[in-house]
Amino acid sequence: MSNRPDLYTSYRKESSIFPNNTQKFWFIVLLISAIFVCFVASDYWLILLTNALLVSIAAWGLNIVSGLAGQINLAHGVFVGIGTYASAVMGGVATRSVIGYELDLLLWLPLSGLIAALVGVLISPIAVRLKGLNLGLVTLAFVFIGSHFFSNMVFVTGGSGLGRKAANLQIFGIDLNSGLEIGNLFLQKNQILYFISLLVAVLLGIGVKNLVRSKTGRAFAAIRDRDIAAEALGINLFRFKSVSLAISCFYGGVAGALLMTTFGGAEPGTFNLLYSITFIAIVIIGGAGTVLGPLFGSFFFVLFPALIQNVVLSSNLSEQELILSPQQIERVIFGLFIILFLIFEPRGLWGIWFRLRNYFKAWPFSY
Amino acid sequence: MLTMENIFSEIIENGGSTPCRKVNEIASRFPERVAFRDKRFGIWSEISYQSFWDQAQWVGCALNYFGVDRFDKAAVHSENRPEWIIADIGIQSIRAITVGLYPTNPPSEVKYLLGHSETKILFAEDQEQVDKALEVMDELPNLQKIIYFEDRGVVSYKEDILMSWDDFLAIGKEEYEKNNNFVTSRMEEIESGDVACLIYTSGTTGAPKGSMISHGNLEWCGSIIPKLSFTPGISNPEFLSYLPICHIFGRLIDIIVAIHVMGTINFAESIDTVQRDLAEVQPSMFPAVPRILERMHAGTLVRMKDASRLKKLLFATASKLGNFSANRRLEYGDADLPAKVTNFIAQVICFRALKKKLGLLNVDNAVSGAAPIAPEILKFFMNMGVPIYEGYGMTENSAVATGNKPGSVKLGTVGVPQPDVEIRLADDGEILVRHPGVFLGYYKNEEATKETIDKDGWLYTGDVGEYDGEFLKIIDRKKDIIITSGGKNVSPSEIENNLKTSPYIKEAIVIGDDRKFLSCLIGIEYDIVSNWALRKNIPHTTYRNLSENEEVQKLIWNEILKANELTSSLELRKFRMITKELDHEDGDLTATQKAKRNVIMDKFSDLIDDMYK
Repeated sequence: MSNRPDLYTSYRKESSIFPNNTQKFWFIVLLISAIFVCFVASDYWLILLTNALLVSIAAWGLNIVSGLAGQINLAHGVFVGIGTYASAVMGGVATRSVIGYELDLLLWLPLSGLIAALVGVLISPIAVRLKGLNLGLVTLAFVFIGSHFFSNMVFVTGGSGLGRKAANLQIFGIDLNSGLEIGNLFLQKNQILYFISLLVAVLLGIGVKNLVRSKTGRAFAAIRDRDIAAEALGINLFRFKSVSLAISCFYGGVAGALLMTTFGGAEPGTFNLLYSITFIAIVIIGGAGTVLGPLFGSFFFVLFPALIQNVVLSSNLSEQELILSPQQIERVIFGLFIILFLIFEPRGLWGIWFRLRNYFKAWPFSY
Repeated sequence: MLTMENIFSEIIENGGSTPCRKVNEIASRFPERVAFRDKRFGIWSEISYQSFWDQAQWVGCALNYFGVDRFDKAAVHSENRPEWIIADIGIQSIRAITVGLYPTNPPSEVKYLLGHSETKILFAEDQEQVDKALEVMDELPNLQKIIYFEDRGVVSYKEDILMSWDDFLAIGKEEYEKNNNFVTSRMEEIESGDVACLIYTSGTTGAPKGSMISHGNLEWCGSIIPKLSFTPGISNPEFLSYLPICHIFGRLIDIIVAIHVMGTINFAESIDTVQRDLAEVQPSMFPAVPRILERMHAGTLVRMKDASRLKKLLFATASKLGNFSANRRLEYGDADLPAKVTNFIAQVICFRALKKKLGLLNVDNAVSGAAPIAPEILKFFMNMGVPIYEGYGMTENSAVATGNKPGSVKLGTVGVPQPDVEIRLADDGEILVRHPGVFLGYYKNEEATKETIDKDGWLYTGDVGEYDGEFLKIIDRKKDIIITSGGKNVSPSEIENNLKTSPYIKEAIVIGDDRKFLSCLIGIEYDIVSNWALRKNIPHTTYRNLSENEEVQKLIWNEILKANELTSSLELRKFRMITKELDHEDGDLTATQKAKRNVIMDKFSDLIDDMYK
């Protein structure tokens, strides 16, 4: 049958995560090179890559509710924040001002996702009754409510301007902060974090792929395309909209928890409107409604500014000569990219990838 | 693991057997082997040989239940689908006779075919075919039951004569459980001289004639499979069934060859999806008729026009390399090194991907038959590296007569005689064929039988041919040859095929019998000409409107001039457009999509007269 990759004898085979060997092959190649990178990259790049992977997870989350189920969500950053502080409470150390239970990573990581999901489910009755611009406005309001809570729940967040330390990095009671020795291989903390992020990203990435092909995923797509038609098809709008929000928040929460651990701490002011909008930008640049899109978008978002900064810094020009600071230049260029993408390739980086792939897939024809 | 060599050597050792016996044998030896793959809602569901044989036996038992005895007839009126073959094998296994009807047969022809064959049971595919039979049922006293495969639209019908395939099989199963040796013991009785099926010729002139093909004919066809021109090199018996099984070519491939080599027959989802299904199945053996190859050729050229410059350039380069390679192969054989190198490059830059798109990637051997094909079309595929060989045969000789084969190809000829086939040319050039596959005669038509088979067993084919070296070349149907008023003999089919090489031309009928010069009627390929017109900003609405457009006429005239250059005999001086699409139901085409010359000449006599005014 290897000569007939397109001949499907069952629906199960047709809708499998990797329907053909080519995709399996590239997935494995990517995975092996991802593992390999860990041993050659400098700490600076390793942290950036870890960051990119985690941002991807959060972006997948937003992509599920917005790209897949078509519900505008301007408050994704808040859910990331909830995951962040949930992890800090569960896994962090208690001090005079903040509470903490010093749990294991295996507990606090899923729990922080679940708590974010729970909050998502709690607010979903409001959200699922609205659509379009109204939903956008409600979620916008939620950003400010969230900010307010973050600033004032000092016992959880450490308070505005101060923040708190991240959760402990321990698995099965083994403290990983000072690294880990496996045989004669010594892994730094950064490398461990990279691996954990990679593992979680792979699992959750396959999770998204699986979701897209499942009944739930198809229901989401039906709601996105036309909610009334979806309802007529027997899809329970309330239930599926809530589920999409819950899954989305779970992804956000998990990403938030690991992000905080990577950077060591977090200040409540981080999770403002701009932070939420960043994720929207990532999904747009990457390509909404796809699995690969947010991954492209996140890597672009994280690595591209780093590249610009590198270039600006190595140019040896002072700030006076450049008028803008490196951070400002980075923001301006990034903003330009968002505009350009919306005008020229609304399908995002994934769209470019898709066109390229089709160019070769249709060979020697054009369609 | 059973390889094709094992299968072939087994056939050489044991000879051929009639299809129903073969199915029984495979079912007992390899019950799990996949017999059919049927595409439903995008998924290919598989049916094993065991299940195939079980169902065929149920059909046999149920037929017996409804009073179908030895030598009674049962007809199948359906597109290709597993039930077609299951019913066919079921009918043959109880020594009854299968009659095949074309799905496009209109009610009047259904009436003629069922009436002439005295069919007792009809298997009709769906509402469309059931309606045709019901319309003429009153005039068919022998018809006792109509079994339908698809119940959509038929469920509400009240006629007692109707029964669904599932109910029919359920009766068969019940009967089978009462006496499970019935079919096998009846099958033992079958003798080589028994008629297995009636194949009605499409009848370009007059009423269709029912050719009686015997079990012996089928056995003989089975026995020569390993030596046939189009079987060497097949690595894997995968087939796509799309040629009508009621036609001898489809039957030869699907029921004789595919079953004999224990192959898997894939059924396309529908006529419209053949191209896509072909790309999914990637069959290893591809029987083709000129019409399909012409369409593939035209489709490829048209789609290439839309491709980007780079792709166009690579296609052009690959075509040149492929042409060089194919010419070397024809001249020096397959082992020629320059041919291999150029072919390799052409494959890498373009043809491999193209073949995959067309579904020809795994084709080890392809045969073109059933009608003459223009050498340019064959060359196009050979350039692409598809091993395609033209063959020659007809209903009356079980479609086996001659064929080009790997290592022995001459374009424009139909090759050398198949194994055990004797060929002779009569004094007037008519091709005579003699072999054990020659049919028994026309059903209920002694006179026509006598005209076709002489007392020594020579079959008069009605085709005029000549030898080109050892290769046989068909000139034309004897009755179609044109003699101009200047006394020159012209073969219209050669010119017509040269015309049909153009992607824009679908139908061409050359006229000139007893006239001063040659002219032709042209039917355009609507999709492609329409696409061309869109590009040129030529507004158009219907087929007629497009045909009558002056720009289109200019385009066609240029295509005719090109065809004239290829033609060795007289050139075409004038043409007229046929302003309607030719159609089987209107009587313009035969069921196999061949133009009925006399009908068309009659219908469009005003156009013809206009040309010779």
